Amino acid sequence: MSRILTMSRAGREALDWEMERRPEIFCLGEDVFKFGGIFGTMDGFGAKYGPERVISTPISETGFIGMAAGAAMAGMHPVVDLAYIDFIGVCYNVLLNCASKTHYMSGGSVKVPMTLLIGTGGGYNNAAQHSQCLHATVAHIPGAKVVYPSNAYDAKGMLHTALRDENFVIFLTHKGTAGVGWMGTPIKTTLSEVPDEPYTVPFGKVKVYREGRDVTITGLGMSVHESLKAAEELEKEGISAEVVDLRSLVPLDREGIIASVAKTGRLIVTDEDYLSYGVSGEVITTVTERDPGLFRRPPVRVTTPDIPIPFSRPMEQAILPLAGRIAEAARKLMA
Amino acid sequence: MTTPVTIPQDLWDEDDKTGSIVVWLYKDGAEVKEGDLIAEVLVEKVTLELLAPASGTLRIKVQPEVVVNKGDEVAVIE
Repeated sequence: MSRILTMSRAGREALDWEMERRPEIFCLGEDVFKFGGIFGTMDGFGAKYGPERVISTPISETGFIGMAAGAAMAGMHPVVDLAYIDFIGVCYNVLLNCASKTHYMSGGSVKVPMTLLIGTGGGYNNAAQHSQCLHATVAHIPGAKVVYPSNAYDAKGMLHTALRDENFVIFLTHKGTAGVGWMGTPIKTTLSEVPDEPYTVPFGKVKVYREGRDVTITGLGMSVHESLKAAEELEKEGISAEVVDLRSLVPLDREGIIASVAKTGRLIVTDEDYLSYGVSGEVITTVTERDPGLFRRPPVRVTTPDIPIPFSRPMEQAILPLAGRIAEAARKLMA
Repeated sequence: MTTPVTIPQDLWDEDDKTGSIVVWLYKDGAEVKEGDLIAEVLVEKVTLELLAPASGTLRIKVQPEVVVNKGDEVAVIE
């Protein structure tokens, strides 16, 4: 049987199913015992699994993520709630040099099965230190897998895949897509019919949300949903847009991106992360390296500019890659 | 037989507060079982759960983002 779920509930279901069956899985993070994580991924787990498997930590990402990496090397599978990616700086050494390198440097003899849940993104006036995406900053680390579901079906399936992975997975969720009450009414396109049974969604495959002929729009996290809104507007004007969700940054489905651009000949890359040195450049390079002749027009990036994200609502709305900017870029490409 | 789905009097404490449905977890016309979680209700940033009072076909009467009070009939189960 399937019901319509939010990403938050779908992810919780996957984690609960795995925890019921695998004693090596345990949760840790700030306030996870009572509060269940900022997205409710561990909602009710404190009461169900007790304080040894659902550990509320002090506010020290350096400490508890280091502890998690050590536990993973010793055979456990920690699931860490890091809430906001904005604070990844304080534990970056563990991610960069320990969790992502130990499998390689030990010649494959030490694995680090650890799942790091992180919230990203803005759009709700939380200012420059609580609104960043920074996914390129973690996707840049060799040795870590980085996935980024944008709907409930993928959230459940990809979390099952992450929890069964024998190495380090960074599992990103844009805060606005999670469907938690404090962020307002869930975006319809994030909700999916989700089977009761466990299932996996493999990493490294794009998802084509909507097929089109004229222009490919790639997105990830929230920008997928803004792209879908733009595609609906464009359809009324006779422009047929194909919306492709990258949904996994490492591994990245380069063939999936190329296949779509080969069909449409036009590419708009949307990304809520900063413009420079990021995923948007990587996507365009992926196509260019294969065959620049695939582009009938030069590709376009619609991203957050290289500035701190403003607190002011009108200013923040003006700089985010929202549907209006995406649709305008498509109109120019088709002109 | 038709069973009304109402916002329970004890879903939240204070009588003077209102809520709104965040999301229906089943489509209009779907089959639900008694005790299934069928909707999320938001009251002052807290998400509460609305359970099906009976088994049958869900007919939704109140859409998300509309203000609801305790005792309001938001759906029926046929």
